[in-house]
Amino acid sequence: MIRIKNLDFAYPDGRFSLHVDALDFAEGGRFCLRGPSGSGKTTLVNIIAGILKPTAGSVTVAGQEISRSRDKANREFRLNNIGFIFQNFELLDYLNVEQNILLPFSIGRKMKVTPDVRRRIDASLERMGIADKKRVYPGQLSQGEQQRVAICRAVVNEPALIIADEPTANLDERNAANVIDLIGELLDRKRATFLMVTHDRSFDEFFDDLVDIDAIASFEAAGNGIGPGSTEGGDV
Amino acid sequence: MFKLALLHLKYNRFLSAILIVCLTIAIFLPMVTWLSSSMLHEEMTARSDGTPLLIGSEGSPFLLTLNSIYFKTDIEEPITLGALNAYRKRCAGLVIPLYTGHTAKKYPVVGTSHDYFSFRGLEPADGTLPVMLGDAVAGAGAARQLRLKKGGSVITDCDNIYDISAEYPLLLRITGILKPTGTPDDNAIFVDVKTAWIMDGIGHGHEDAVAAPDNVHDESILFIEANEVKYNSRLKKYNEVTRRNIDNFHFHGDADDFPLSALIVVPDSHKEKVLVMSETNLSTDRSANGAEIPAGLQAIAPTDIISEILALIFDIKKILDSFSGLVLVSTGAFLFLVLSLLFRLRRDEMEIIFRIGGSRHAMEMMLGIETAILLGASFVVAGLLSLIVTALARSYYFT
Repeated sequence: MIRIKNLDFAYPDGRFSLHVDALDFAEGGRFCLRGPSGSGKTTLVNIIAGILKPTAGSVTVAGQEISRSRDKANREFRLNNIGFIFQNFELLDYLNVEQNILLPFSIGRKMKVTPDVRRRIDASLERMGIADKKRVYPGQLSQGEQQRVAICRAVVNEPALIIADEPTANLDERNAANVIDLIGELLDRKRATFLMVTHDRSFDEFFDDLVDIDAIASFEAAGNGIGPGSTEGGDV
Repeated sequence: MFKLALLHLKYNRFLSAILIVCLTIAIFLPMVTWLSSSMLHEEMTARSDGTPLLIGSEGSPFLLTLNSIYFKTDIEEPITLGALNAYRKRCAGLVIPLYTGHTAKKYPVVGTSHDYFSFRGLEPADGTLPVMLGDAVAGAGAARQLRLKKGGSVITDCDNIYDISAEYPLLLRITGILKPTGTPDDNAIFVDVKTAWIMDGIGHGHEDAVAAPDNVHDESILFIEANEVKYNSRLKKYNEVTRRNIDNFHFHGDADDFPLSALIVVPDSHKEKVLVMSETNLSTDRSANGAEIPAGLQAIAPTDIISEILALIFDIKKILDSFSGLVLVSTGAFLFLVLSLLFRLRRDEMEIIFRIGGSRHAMEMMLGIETAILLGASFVVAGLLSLIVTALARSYYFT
């Protein structure tokens, strides 16, 4: 599903650079990318999603060589093949639950909301236990409910790859466990490849493979020398 | 993107409404000024261009024009029937009398001749033009507002109810309703000029009602006098010309002195028009072609007068335009400020849309669409308001 070879990446301002020799994630697997803050986990998943462009090397996702594709093609690829679950849920406050879930369809010109899509939304809301919140706005939802809406949005277009970037970081233990259980339930049905970035070790048994970024990548952060190692500050 | 922009505006409906109101005001001011001035220009020139020459008493040409063309305002001094006869002798063309000043239920009653109807292209949609004394034909607007129909009637207004020497109001028989023309004629009631003189009391009839003798109570409807049942004249509320009493109607005084408010002169040629104007306004020789043109008259071309009025109005419009420009600039700056603040506030939203698969320029596009929707809505509201205000102004001032 995901194949990386001799990847080099550097931010234009030179504050961070990353190198990955090789990395393979098999189709349908559940993978966890772990590492300390500032080690390049988010940068790496952004490269995999085609959001960031590597300076060298190749990245292939679901048969498409993301690293060589044009920006527009990558955006279309993301819309159709990748579902995102963000740390801060990233729901739009002016859209209700259903409209937030349908956000990819509002962005993608070629994507049509068919009755089948509506049925899928109803089914996923039912499974998430928030079927009665379809017309409710994010501001009226609890954090756990917001994250469940974000999960529904990530799977609405039946993506081949779901990327979750610290999806449980802002949830309490109980809600975090619920979210992981629900993701697991969805993955059992969809057979999508799941890649999650986290430094929470309490869900290790959920994954097929745990990948420590220190083991596969070397990075250089401004003022901190060459990794593996850690840098202070937020995700890069 | 369009749907997202609509949903964002709908969710922030209060902010959207404020922006639309501000923009509407900024757009409405110049738009209504422009539409009104265009309408004013079009209406005033259309009516004045269709009236080659007006003859009236010396004084304000503006009052004469407004009175004779739009039936608004009073004239300073009347002219006489003698003047009409003199111009009819003098002028190669049509000379039409106008006698304004009376009203029926606040609608102007215009005394004129049949020539006026053919000159203005007025035709009855129902019924006929006035034939005998007391007949009237109503303009379409007046008929609609007063619910007049052929065969109905309307009583003229009493100018001053405390004036005991004033004439009784006259009951006008409606013989027809004119086709609508979208001109001031729509909101007038037309009678023969002789009927208008009856309203003045110059012409009157003698009826059967008589004053009750002293021994009869004022409230008695009928009383017996000299073995005859008589009708108490104190009960009389208005005059009416009927087939039975029409022969009793007659006019007192020298016909040449009977009043008119103005004459519409339609000369056969431009040369004739110039001659009539110069003979009336400049020449001391007022007896050309053997016709004695009375002194104290003025001849005006309504087009010239209306052009003067319009020039004044357009000077005022220029001032209004500069104010509107200031409002537009300040509203534009306000909109720019709001949008740039919104752009900053919505950076996170832009990032979400981009990460999901939207364009880097999605937010610019969305803000552009939202601005277009706000501007479009404001233009529509301002346009509708301007059209309504202009239509109201048109119906109030020109029909």
